[in-house]
Amino acid sequence: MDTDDDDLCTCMQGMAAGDAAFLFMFHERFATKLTWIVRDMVKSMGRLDIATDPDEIDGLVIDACEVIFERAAGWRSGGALPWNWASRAIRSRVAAGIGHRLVEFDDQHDGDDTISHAPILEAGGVEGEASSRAAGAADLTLDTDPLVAEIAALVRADPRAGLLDRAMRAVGGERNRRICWQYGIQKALGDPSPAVTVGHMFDLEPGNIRQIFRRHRAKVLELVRSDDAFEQLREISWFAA
Amino acid sequence: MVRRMTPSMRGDATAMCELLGRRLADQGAPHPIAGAVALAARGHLGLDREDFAGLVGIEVSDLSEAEAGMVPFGRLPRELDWILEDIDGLDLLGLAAAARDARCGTVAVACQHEQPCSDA
Repeated sequence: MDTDDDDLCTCMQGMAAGDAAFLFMFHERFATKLTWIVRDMVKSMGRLDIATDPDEIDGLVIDACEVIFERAAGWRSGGALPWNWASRAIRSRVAAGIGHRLVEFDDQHDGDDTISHAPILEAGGVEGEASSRAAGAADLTLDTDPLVAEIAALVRADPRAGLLDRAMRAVGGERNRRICWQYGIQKALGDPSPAVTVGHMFDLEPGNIRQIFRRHRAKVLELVRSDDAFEQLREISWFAA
Repeated sequence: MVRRMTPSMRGDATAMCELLGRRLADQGAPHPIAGAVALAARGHLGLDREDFAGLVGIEVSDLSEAEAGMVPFGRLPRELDWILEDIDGLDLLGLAAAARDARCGTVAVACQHEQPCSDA
C-alpha cells in the first residue's frame, strides 16, 4: 500500500467513527482529486461559469468531502474509491449547491447568473442599463423585480448603496449579487435565519447561501480596499479595517 | 509571526474550518470556530485523540473540550500553535475575527452561533 492508500484508509476509518478531524485530513489530502471530479460534474450540468470559478469549485469540493464524511461508515476498503462510490450523492449535493435542477433544464425559468440587462441604481433612481456576466436571457424590470425596488429605496436613503451595488457587480455574477443583497436585507430586517429565508428564494441550501455571501463579500471587501473608486464605502462599518 | 492573509490568498483550509465550525454550531457548541481550529490541528497530523494529545503534551480531556467547541479562541492550548502555523491556507486572524464578530453580534462571515458578549 502506498502513502495515499494509507492516508485514505486512515481518513475513512476516522470519519466512519464520526471524528471530524479526519474530515479535515481527508480534505487536505484529497481535495485535488475531488476538484477534478466536481469540476467535471459542474461542466456536465452546463455551468461553465461556475466550473471556471476557483472559489465556487473550492466550496463545492468541501461539500463533496462532507458528503463522503456523512457516508463513510458504509465504505469498505478494496472496493471503489470513496469519491466514485459516493458519486451520485456528491452529484446531488453539487447540483443543490449551484441551484441546478436534476431534471431536464427549462430555460424559460432559469434565474441564476442569467441577467443580461439589469439597471444600475444610482442616487435618484435608475440610470441606464449595464450587462453583467450573462448566461441566458431573463429580463427584469422595475415593475417585476422587487429586489430592484428595494435597492432603489436604499439608494434614496443612502447614495452609497448604489456604489455598493457597483462593487458587487464588479466582482461576481448576477445570482451571487442578488443573494448577497437579499441576505443583507434579511439580516437588516432582523430575520433570525436569513440563510433559510434566502435559501427558499433561490432554491439553495442555507449553508450554500452563507458560503456564497461570505465569498462574495470577501471579494467586495478586497475591491473596496484596493480601488479608490470605492473609497466612500471604506467608512461603512462593514468594510472598516 | 502569523502572516495576515488577504481574501485572495485564503486557501481551502479556512473554508474547511468554517464548515467544521458550522457543524459544531449546529450541535450547540458555544465556541464553534475555536473548536474547528482545534480539530484542524489534529486533522493536519492525522492522529487520533490519544496519540495527538501525547505528541503535543496536553491532556486528552483538554483536547476533547477544545475540539467540542467548549473553549474560547484565545484560550486554545498554546501547544497547537506550531501545528496551525504549518497548515497552508489557514487564515487564523480571519477566523479569530469571525469568532469575535459572532460573539459581539455583528455580521459573522461563517458562524452566527457563538455566545454573545453579554455572556462572556
